[in-house]
Amino acid sequence: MANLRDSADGDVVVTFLDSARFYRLSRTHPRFDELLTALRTSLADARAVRVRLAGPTSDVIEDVQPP
Amino acid sequence: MPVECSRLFQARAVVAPLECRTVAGPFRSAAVLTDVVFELDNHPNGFQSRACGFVWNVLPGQWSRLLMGGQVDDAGRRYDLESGVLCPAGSTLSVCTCLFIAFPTSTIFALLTGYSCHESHVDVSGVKAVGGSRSIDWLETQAGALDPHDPTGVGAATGDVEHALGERELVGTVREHVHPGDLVVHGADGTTTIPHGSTLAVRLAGHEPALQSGREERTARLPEGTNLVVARRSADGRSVHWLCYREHEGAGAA
Repeated sequence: MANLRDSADGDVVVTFLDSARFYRLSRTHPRFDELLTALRTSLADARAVRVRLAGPTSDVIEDVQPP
Repeated sequence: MPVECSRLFQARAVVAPLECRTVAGPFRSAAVLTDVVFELDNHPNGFQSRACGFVWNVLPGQWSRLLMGGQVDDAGRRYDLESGVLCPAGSTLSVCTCLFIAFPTSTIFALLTGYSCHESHVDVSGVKAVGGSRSIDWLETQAGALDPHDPTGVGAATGDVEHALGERELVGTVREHVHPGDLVVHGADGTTTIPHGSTLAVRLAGHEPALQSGREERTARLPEGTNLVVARRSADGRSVHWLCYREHEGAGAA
């Protein structure tokens, strides 16, 4: 995990240390609070997480789990 | 009807990650591509340095086809095409590199060799993409993100990858020495720390972002128009490679 930023549309923009891309956690995700907490914890503890995207070419984060 | 192709041509280029560059053509007459060599031009991560490069044949504004490509490591990669690949008059050969960088990726040196033909009108309708494996054995494979992109810009417009690429335009690269301690970039959304050996995208407020490199505070001078960088810091923390992009308006809200 590298950073979490609030975007103007309410989503959270996520960056990872080994990626040249920006990813999004949508505020409309039914588990938004839970996933955001998992990402924040990962960032604070400098621990890796396993992230699943909504599709193979999507930038939308669908799930966050321990590695 | 036999076509004679005997005028040797060679084209070479050094291509940065996420770049797509026309290296040969447009051909006045048809041409045959016979050999391709990809090598890493530099090695920021030693034996872990990897990149991927793809060769496209493009008839601008009409079509493009992926000929070959894949992962390149320190061993390099060579394609010898016994019968060659016919490229029609007016077309170009482009080399494109990956969108996603799992490890800090080297610059690729590409050398393309072939022969120009004496006949302009060569039917390529039956020619298929040849050679090379498209599977890329990254340790952290991101399937869709590794797709090569279409240099014509008219390819699958619905995919996120192509869409995302259309929003970023490479404006240059800058490499500089930094203090091996903490490196902090003051970006558009606050500060971002760039750890050793990491690759990270950062949006900027201007093309001279403020840095804190160890105890030193200074600015980096990046190409004008830069508002997004992909920072690749070396494993020993002593250098940073800025891949400088112009992100077009609206992309930042995604």
